[in-house]
Amino acid sequence: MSDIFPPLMSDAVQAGFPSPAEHYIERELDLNDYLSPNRDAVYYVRVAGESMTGADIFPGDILCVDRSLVFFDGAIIIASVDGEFTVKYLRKEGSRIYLEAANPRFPPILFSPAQDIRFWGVVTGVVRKIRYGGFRRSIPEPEPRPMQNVSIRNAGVRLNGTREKYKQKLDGNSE
Amino acid sequence: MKMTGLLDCNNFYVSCERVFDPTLNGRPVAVLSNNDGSCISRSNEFKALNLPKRIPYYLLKDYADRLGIVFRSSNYCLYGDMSNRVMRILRDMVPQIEQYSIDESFFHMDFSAAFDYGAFGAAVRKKILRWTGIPCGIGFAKTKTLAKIANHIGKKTPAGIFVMPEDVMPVLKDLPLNEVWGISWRLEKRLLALGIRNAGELAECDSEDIRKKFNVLLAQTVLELQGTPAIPRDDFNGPVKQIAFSRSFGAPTGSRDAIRESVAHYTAIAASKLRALHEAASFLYIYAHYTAEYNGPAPLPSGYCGHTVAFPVPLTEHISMMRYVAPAVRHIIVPGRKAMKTGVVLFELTGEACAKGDLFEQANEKNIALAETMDAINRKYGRNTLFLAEEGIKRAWTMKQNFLSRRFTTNWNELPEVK
Repeated sequence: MSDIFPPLMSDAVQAGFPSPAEHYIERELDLNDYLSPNRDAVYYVRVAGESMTGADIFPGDILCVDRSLVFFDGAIIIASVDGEFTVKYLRKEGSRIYLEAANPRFPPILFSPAQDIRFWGVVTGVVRKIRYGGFRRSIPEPEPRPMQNVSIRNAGVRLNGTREKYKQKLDGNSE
Repeated sequence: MKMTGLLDCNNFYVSCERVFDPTLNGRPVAVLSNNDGSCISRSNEFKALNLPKRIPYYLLKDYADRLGIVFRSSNYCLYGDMSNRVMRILRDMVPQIEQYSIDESFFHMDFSAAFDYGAFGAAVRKKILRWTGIPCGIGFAKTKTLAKIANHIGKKTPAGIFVMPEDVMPVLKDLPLNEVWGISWRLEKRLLALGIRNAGELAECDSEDIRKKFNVLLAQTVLELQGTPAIPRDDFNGPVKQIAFSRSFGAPTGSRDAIRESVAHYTAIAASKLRALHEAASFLYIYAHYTAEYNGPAPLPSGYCGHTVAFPVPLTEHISMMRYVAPAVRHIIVPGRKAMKTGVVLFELTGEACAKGDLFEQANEKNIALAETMDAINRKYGRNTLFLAEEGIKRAWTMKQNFLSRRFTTNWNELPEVK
């Protein structure tokens, strides 16, 4: 009696199409990886001053900061100076270490016992969104160029006797 | 040789605040509990003031300026993210970790006896300090209880690391009982009465004897002090059994709306956690705590009032839940008393398939799609972008967070600023 009834499907079978790209799937591009692959040591900060405009770092930009990197001469770093965060070039000339702005209006900050300077991280990238403020009226796209009749002759392709070669083959087959 | 390590971040919440606010360095800083109640994390400078451990804010506020104390409300978005970073860095360096709290984690290693645990601990500590700015202490020993003790000793050294020697007795003989993991002051009193004065003398007891006189937990502690692992490993990957959410009000309130809105709001929060775990719940328990004050007719009603709401089918989203929650709120309202806290608990979790495959309530499907869309929008544009009107709009009842720092690492609009 029992074998009259077919077994019930316990699970819905998901039969997706076999994608020809299946073996070629790579990870999607991720800007985090591009700016700094070290996610546990990466922090983002917002620029609020004009001291680095000469290095193309402008107010409102987001900086990607990696705390795992070593501090070296010429690096753009985040440091705290007397409790305030600042972004500057780190410079070393002989035994003299100082922070240098990329804007002549800002004097270099020399290391002295009077100031509390701490290194925070090395800047590895600048993120700037394009901001379009105000009212926007859409502009229609230009019409696409009309399709032209393309023949081998007016495309300027030289056939070098190819047509003759195929003609011979075709003729040979039909015989 | 099997070794258990314990990593514990120093003054974790304060340390997180200091990473993003260098003005806090060198000052007494305290992070306050929810609703700005009492100090739950204190900087070393604060501890040096020798105030009681969990001193309430209202007692301190008048002296804060004179003592130079800086307060912060607890910012769990920040602490959660920093904790994840610390634990991921540790996980990449050791074979096996067993996270124990937001700022503590056991880890297990099995290397040859020649392995230099002290140097390894120093490397872990240095990397975490460099990458996150959070200082931590590490202790190594044969068992968890001994690793806890090693950690406490390590924290007091400049290096922050302590490896328990093979012969633990000299260390334990100097250790008061209340510094042993799991021994409360009450238990300490009973042990002192038996003539057991320090951790070393407790380690010399017979664990079977202790089990008969006290309980199995203290017997475990004795075994652990002797160097035999006895505390079972916690498996945090097991299924979640219930989801709870509760908060205190900013101030006690007699407003029915506050109770109604807060219960609806907490239900929405608990339900979004439920969806993140791909679960569905069949029951919701709602409750309210009231202050001692009462000016209604006798007899005095209870200061705690709870009610269970049963859903006809397992639910995953708060939109359908609201239909059953809203009428039930009156059961937890006590006229004449002021509520100080409300909370919700979702339980009997069954897996979301139960809610999605339901044939009897087709309307559910629409609400599930709506809730998932709301989740997506709130993830993208910030929590509380979209919510039900039932949850209240002004929410005057929300808790006090007068000294809240920014969500420096989890919100694009609250990043630290550099000049």
